[in-house]
Amino acid sequence: MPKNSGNLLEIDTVTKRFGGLTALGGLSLEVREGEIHGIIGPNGSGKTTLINLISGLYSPNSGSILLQGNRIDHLKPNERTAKGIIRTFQIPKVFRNMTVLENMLVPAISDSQQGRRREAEIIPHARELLRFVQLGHMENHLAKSLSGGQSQLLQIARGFMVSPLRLYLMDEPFAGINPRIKGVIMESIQKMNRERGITFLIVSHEMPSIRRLCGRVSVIHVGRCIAEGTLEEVVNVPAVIEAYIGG
Amino acid sequence: MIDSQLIAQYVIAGLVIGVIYALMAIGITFIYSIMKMINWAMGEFYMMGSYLQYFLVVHLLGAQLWFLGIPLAMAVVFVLGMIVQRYLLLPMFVGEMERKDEYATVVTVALMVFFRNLAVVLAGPNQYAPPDYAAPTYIGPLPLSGNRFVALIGTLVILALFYLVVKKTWIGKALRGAAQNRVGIQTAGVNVLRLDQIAFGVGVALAAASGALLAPIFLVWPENGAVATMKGFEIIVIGGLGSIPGSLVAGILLGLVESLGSVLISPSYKDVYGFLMVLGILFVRPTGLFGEKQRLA
Repeated sequence: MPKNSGNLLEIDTVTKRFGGLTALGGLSLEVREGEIHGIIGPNGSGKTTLINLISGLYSPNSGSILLQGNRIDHLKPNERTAKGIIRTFQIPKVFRNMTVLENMLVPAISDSQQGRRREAEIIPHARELLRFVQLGHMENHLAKSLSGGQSQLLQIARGFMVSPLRLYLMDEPFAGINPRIKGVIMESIQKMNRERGITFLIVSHEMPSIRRLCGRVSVIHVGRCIAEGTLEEVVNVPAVIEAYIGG
Repeated sequence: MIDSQLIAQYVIAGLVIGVIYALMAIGITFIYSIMKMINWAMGEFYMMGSYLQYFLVVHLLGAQLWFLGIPLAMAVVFVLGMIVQRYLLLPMFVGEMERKDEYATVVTVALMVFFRNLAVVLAGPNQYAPPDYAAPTYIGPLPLSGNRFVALIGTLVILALFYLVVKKTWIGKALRGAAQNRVGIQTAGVNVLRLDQIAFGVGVALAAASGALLAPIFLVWPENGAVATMKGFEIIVIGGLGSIPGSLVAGILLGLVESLGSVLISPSYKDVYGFLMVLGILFVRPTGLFGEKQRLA
């Protein structure tokens, strides 16, 4: 029976091992419907592994992952996208030899019949999103001609093409990005959260961005969640200070 | 002094055989670009195409309807390829095994041995030849074998259709996306394992088309795919693994080098000229003419 806890995503004592290395050791985490939730933690703490597990690139060794009370940990990545989960990567995964506009249309292929029928409808939507992330003037450029920051914008905008979209996972969206593009990314996250009610789970080292965006933050260290709360609350937790500074 | 008309004739012969070689190479590189694995049984799907064409033309359709045999042979091999992918290769791509492509590649090596021996068991070691597709023809003043002319036109038609599907359709866009970024297309919601199945089916159907088109020229026998596979691999090294335009250009180059080498130096070393070109390209441009360096991290 699906539980109705008010949480969009529940991660219950998930363990992920790579041979002898335990990347996540019984991690539990809850993400509430409609929030912008931050994930912080030192390098190698398991943040990207967590995103890979939620998006389906990895399967957990034990534990469960639930979306709206239903287990999703057995589903393939594309099946999770169909449930409304999309993600970005720190190094943007754009289709380099397609135009910017063609990149935007790729999520529509997930149901090709629907895509064919709705082509007239989705192209204006794609253009609107491109204008919103300030890539409208580049729609006919090949994606390989974009800068790193522009590729990140394209990757993020492409995710917004998925419908229905419930949970947006972002892995280091601000890493190596110039301040202007960083501003555009933050604005798009806030707007989509406000207007479409999309829940965000954002992994980042950028504390100013996390402070501006995230109501709640979870701190991960050696594969476990060691603190949770507002950024101001968690940075004063002794275990967090020890994790960052070393003991 | 070498006769200029003779040279022109060899240039045309080289162009023709080059385009036909390219069809096989495009099949190999197409499968590689989507699945990131080399199909070593490609020559055996070529061989099946040639047997099917022979069987259809000689026993079912009759010599007049030879042209119907080619799409039928392609369709049968397409379905067989989808079945092989579904039951023998797909299990290598699920789960979290490392280097999935290598396990799948080993399966194709086993398939190569299996299909070759199956052909010996079913049809014997004999060579068969379907009736000629067309009478000798002329390009301007230059004579050209009717079978080669048909193979050239057939290849160009198939390549044009392939181009249209890849460039203009939704499935083509998905396949291009998978070729450019396999992880990216999965996380954009596309079922990449389904694309693998289609890509494998299409790739082996291109090999079958080569086999069916070339059946009257290179004949029908259990190991007839070996030479075509070798040429296919030479072409993808020259053109760049994963590049479809590269395969076409490299196919034509290989055809020209073999043909002109035969007339200007000696026909005895025809295969050597191609390998020398492969070595030269590897020396100057290891990624091939159209290949891109891959970012590994």
